[in-house]
Amino acid sequence: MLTSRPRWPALLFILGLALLLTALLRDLHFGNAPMQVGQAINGVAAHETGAANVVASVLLAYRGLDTLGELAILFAAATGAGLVLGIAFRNGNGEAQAKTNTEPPAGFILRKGADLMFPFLLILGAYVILHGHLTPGGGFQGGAILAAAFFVPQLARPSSPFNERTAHWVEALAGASFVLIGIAGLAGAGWFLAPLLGTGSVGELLSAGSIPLLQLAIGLKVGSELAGLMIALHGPKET
Amino acid sequence: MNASVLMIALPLLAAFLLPLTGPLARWVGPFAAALNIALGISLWQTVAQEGPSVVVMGGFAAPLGIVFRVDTLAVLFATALAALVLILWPRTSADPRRESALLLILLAAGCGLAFSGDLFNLFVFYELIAVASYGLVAASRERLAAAAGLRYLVLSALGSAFALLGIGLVYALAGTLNLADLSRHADALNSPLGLAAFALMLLGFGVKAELFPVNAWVAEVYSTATARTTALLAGGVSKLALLIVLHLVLLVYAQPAALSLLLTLGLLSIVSGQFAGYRAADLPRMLAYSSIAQLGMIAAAFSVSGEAGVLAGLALALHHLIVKPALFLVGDGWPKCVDSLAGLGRAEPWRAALFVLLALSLLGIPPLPGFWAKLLLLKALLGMGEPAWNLAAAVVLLGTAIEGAYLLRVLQTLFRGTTNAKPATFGGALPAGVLGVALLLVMLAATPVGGALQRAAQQAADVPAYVADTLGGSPQ
Amino acid sequence: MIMAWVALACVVTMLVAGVLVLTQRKLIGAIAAASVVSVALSVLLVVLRAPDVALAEAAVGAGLSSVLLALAVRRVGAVDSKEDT
Repeated sequence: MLTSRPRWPALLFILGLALLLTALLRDLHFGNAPMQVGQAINGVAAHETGAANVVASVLLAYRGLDTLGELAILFAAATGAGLVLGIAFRNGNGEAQAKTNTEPPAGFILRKGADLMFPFLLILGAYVILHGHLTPGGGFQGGAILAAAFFVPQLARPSSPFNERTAHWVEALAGASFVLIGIAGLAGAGWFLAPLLGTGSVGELLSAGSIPLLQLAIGLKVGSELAGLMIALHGPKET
Repeated sequence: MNASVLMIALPLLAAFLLPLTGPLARWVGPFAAALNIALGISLWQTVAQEGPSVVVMGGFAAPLGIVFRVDTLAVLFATALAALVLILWPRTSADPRRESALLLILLAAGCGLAFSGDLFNLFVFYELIAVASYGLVAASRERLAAAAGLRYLVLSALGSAFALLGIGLVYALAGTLNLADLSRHADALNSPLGLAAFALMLLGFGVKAELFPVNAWVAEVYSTATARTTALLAGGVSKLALLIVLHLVLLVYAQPAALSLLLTLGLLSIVSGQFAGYRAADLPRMLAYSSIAQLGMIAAAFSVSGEAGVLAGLALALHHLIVKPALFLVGDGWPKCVDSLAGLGRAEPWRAALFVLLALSLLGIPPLPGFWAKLLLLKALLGMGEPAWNLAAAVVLLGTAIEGAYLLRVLQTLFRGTTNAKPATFGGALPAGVLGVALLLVMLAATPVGGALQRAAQQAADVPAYVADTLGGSPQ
Repeated sequence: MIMAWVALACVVTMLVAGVLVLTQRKLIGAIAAASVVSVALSVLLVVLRAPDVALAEAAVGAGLSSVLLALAVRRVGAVDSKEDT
């Protein structure tokens, strides 16, 4: 369709993929994989980390380094996007923010809906982040909800203010605090990202040691990062 | 030993805080890279005294938590990457803050790739280094670079999906992702499905490692990205991706079928890379194709089981890590077309002399270090005593002959005729010079360097010790 | 049993929406179809009792990534132009 390149590499690729899938269906025993590590974690997670949500204990305790890596991947992706799109880095003084979007506001339904939804989205985001160690959810999901909460008003009224400077500060400090909690674990217990503050009683809001703090750091970083990226993309084109 | 974690945590911390540092921003990156070198050297001393060790993340022992394996090989690569990043730190940039952040992330991820002993953690760092490199490639303000970067991104994302599928299969078959634990359960992967998982991972990690079927991006990206980014990708990142493959074949896939697969891909990389290099008309592309061939040689070396293969691959990798970035830097600013290089040898004698030195070492002319690396490779390949590996040795020699033909063509052109063009600015003079001096130092200190590499290879190939170190204190 | 039917419906929706992504002429339509894939996938994940992943898929896959794609398309100005065929 695109060009008149030969089709055979694509055909070969599809053939290989089909072969692989057939082999998978034939040889892989679905449903009874040897989940050694999974079983072991299910057995000890609540006791060792104090998190009622086992997924949170895996993400932030057993495999906390992976999560730090994921956080950095998102940061790298947002940074790379900013680099490619040439979004000016506005860090400092207020005068740089004078350049606001001049688009007209959206229709009635979107405006009123945005006003109505803003507080609820904030509360939902905060809930999902802060209860990450108790119920499904956590920093990444809650952060995405927070980002949406701050983006919807921009969609409704493109000229409404958004303090990019604060967003940058929140993002940087939240990201740094994740690493610093890790280093604190290194200094205190001798292991990077070691759980601090004791496990507490499973199921309480204030439990699971430093996991809620890490959730908060992730949520704030992801939220401010994505909100900043979306608003920059939505804003007037620069360069 | 905890310095290994700091080598990842501190650059990440610096990258996150970079937007707040204001006027200090341009010094943060080089400082963090220099700090990483210092940490690496201190780790090197510790490992030399106390032997390899294992660092446990968060205090969760091996199969459940993530562990770092700190041995000579890992320290060597982490330190070499930090040094390369410091040497190649861009002096000017359109967007210094974002570029610094991406470079710091690349540094952290590279150290993670060197140290980590967990397959999924390796994947996370591989992905991190990939995402950071997309931005760096596209940072070159050339229109073509954006297009090349996009194609690189698509191919790389496809590769990552393959690698993730392979890792998922490994978990489904063996129930663990810790490399030492997988080494104990290697039997579970000794099946067609296990081999399929290896092939998928090879395709996935092969994108960065420039292995044969998934290296279409190399020439395009290396000829459009800035010379320093190219040098970093060709010199550092590709080796770290191959390091994952080395861990896999050493610890998990020591089976003949997997080794033959790796050897085949390596040989195909050598042949396709050298022929494409021979046909290339412009210098950056020629160097890019030669880089494919060199990485193919490293892959072929890693397909030799045991210490000899590790040693040969290690020597080739470190040699290429020094030589290829320097070649890209020397060639940067010269006319791209090889035929237009005529006369530059007289116009810029020092620069041309450096190019000659590097090219001869790449080719493997004694007494330059490249010769010893290739000799080790041939010894390792012939030491396997199997027909396929004997054939591989012949292919390596044939590849070297082709490489000689096109590199000598460039050298000949350089010193032929005269040019009335003004000498181009040599922006990469300092880093290229440093790398050239490093090459000469390695040549002069061949015996101690060889000894250190031997020790590193010995430690890396000692699988029982690796498994015991990692899982020794675990309840299972 | 009813869960199996829900799962089947999700998978079929995903396949149909996936084909739509490929066949849509307008990029914005393709983005909408891609977000339908994500919604169906997140329902499927709830059925498979992976609420954490479902929440992430719904928030990121269906919500944010579609918005980012749509904004990017708007920025490069390809919404109304005829797609290359």
